[in-house]
Amino acid sequence: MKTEVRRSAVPGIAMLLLVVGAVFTLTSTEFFAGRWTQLALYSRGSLLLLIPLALAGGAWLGRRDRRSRVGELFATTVRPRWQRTLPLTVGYAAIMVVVYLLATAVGAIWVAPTAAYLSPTVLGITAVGALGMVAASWLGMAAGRAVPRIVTAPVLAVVGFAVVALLPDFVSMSGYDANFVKARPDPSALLLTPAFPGGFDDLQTLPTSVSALQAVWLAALAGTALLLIGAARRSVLAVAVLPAVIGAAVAVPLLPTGGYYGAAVVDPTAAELVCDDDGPPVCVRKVHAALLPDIVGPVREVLALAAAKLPNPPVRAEETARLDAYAAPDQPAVRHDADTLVFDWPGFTSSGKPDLGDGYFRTELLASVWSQECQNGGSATGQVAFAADYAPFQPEAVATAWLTGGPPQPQDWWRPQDQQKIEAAHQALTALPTDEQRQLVGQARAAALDCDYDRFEALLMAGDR
Amino acid sequence: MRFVSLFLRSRRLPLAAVIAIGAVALTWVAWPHFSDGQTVNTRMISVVVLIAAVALGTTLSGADDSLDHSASARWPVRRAVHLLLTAVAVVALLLVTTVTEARFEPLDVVIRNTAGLLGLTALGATLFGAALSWIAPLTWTLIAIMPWMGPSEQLRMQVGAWLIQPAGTTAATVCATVLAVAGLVAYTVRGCPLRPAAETLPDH
Amino acid sequence: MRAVSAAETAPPTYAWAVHAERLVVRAGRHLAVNGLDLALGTGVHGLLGPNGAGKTTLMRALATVLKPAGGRLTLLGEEVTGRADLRRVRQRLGYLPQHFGFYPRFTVREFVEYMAWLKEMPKAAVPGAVQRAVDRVGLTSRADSKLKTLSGGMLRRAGIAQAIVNDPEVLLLDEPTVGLDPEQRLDFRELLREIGSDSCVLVSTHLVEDVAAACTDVVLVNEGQLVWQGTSGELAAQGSAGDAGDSATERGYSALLRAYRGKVPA
Repeated sequence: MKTEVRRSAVPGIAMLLLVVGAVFTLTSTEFFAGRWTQLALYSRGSLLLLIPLALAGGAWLGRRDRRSRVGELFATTVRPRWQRTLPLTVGYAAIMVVVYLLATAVGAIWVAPTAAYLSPTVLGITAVGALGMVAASWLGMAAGRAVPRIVTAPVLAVVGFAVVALLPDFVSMSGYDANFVKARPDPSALLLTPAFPGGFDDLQTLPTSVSALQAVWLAALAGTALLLIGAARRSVLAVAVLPAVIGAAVAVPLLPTGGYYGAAVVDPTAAELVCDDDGPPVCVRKVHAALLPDIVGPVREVLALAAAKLPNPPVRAEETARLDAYAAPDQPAVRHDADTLVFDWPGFTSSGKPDLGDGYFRTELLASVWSQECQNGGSATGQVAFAADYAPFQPEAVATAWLTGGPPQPQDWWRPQDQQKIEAAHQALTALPTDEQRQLVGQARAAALDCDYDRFEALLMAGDR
Repeated sequence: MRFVSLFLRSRRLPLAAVIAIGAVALTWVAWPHFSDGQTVNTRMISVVVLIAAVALGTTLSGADDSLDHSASARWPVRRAVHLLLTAVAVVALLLVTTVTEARFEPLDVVIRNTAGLLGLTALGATLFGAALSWIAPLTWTLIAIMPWMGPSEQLRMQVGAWLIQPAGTTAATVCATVLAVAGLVAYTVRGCPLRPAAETLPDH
Repeated sequence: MRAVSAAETAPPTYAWAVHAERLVVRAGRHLAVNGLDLALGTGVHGLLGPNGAGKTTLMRALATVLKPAGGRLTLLGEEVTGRADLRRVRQRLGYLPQHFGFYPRFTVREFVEYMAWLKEMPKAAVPGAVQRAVDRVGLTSRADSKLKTLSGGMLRRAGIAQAIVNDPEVLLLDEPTVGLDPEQRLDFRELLREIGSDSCVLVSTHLVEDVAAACTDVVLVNEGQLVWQGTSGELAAQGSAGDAGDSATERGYSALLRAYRGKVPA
């Protein structure tokens, strides 16, 4: 088998896919750095490119196989046709799986040194991707045998892309009515495509049960493709389609509705807290453990500021457990106490470190001193709520300026009258005696943590009058 | 006229034309169900142009180019005319839709995408042969229409996803022009690689 | 006999129809033709040699499909190495490759017509020339059948038809008798003799009896170089009873190869 595969077009196809897959992985390391689950999911996203190319490669091989008149020579031997094509068929699928795994493994360089845990769901996620490649390889070969034209390969690739990527999108979009409200949930059949559309929160993963069902479907599809490759007579065609039909019939009723978003679950291990206790405790969720060493400094700096000036300051910091609103529109609000600073994680840079550039994280930390989860996610009109409810920006700017001891930092979206009001209120606040300042801001913070934003505003903007 | 028809048949043009026209027709018919707008979105235009380019790219070589080249016909001229007429035909086909309810417009984007993709296809045909000329345009188009690619100010995005940039984006237009010119020149001067056939086989 | 024009009845201005001097041609990275000297005039010349001797590459270079990497090649008095306009030469050339791809939906007539058109024959002359070529190879009854319905031998004859449609002055045939039954081979030899009376024909074949019967001249090549050139009678005379082969020509062939391999260190 090895010589047959080596002398065929398979090495060329494998090289192309490996380069495309590796470049895909390498250009987006910030999406999965330090996180195994995200690496596995992201590789499933690369299937959007790899499956069409695998289909085209298979069609190319199928055509080559069919054109070779050597087949006529072999027709006089006793071995049936499928046995003759078996080495190439198996070899091509195996190599496609290897390419997929290698393209994923390239990303492991950014994950293995810093990841804190390996979820068992990763195995299922990767296995489904591998099975998807096998099914695509064999479907391509079957198509190439059936229609041995030069145009088969590229047209099949485009059709494959449309089915795997564009069709689920279309089906999902058609579920919205004219007011952008989701009229019906996405059908569970959307999970039949192995290509992952993205959009999971880091705390989420695909449960192994869903992966198992997808694996059953893809294995059945691969079986159908294999039968189609070996089918010598038309009558076999009806039988060949059977495995795929049975696979779909088994998988679709059992798969959850809502597509990939509906199938996502929160991974409890990912949500565990990992803390640095050399000082005021700073905790992140386990999935972001790679960030911890570098954000401890900035977080403790803000905690120190708060401890110096606020009565009842936060004594520990914790990363939020709240999922991004698009991933979980209906999650309930979880209130935290005044002794905890709850912050949102900074993104990763492409080198796997936290994104601390532009001072954005520090700004967000300072705003978190006054923030609280107030609203349950998603209202009846389908409006998406934000990760946490930040206090109204004017009093918040005054409070932050007081905390840092500097003048209010102007932001891009402030109108000139906003700037005036804020500066006036800040001056009025700092003109008060220190104890009164402390008391006022303390009360304001308590109001904010109670979600009483009217009082928060009233207390801090009093000097405006 | 007779010989032009023989030439086109020897290049398997009927099937390629059917596929190209079919892709346009299918999109044209299905578009009103996708959206209320009259203009087909740039991603779909790119996909349709891609299908047309790769299908017509298979006509860039005949059943046996070595045998054809032992004859005295002036091949560089024929190749150039073939490629240019193909581009004109694709653009004309898409232009027809502008009088209907599902329009492939603006014209600038259609011309840019067609010229660039056909140029890339011709370049691939010169380097790898017509049967493999679809690899580069297919890969680049798939990358450009990924969900996270979009019109952008960054040069990197404008070149990488040149197909979906709006009309008048200089970097995208330059990229398409380079591909078109490179493909035309390479294909005209070199043509497809002349490999000796391994067996006497019908070439579909 | 083919119809001749006034220009052609003038004495030719060249000494040899095919003249190669120290010709070097690459096939991939391998030097398939390596310093070959060859001079062919009017007549039927047989090209013999073991597999891998460079025969097919030589034919492709003579058909101007491959550009020589070195040496000098002159066809019909015009040099084709270097930057040359090959159109005039190609119009008077006929080539049948050993293997060729074909569009299966063409009929025999359409296939030959298409090649005639590619060789820029005057349009008015094409239908008559096509019919004549098809008749000469004996495919008249199948002239309107699609190529995909033809057997191997008929396909080869269709290939010969396209090579002779323009009455070439240099005709290059690579394995023309593969798949022909003995009667068809006899007809083919007759055709060769007819064409060879006023053109230069080079036939590359493994079938030594075809060479002995139809060729006025035999060229033996090995490892890209000329080993021997002479008449088929002289070839037969080279062999003796001790050499391998069932006919005098085969024995001569083996003797020459053995001598060549003895001279050239392995």
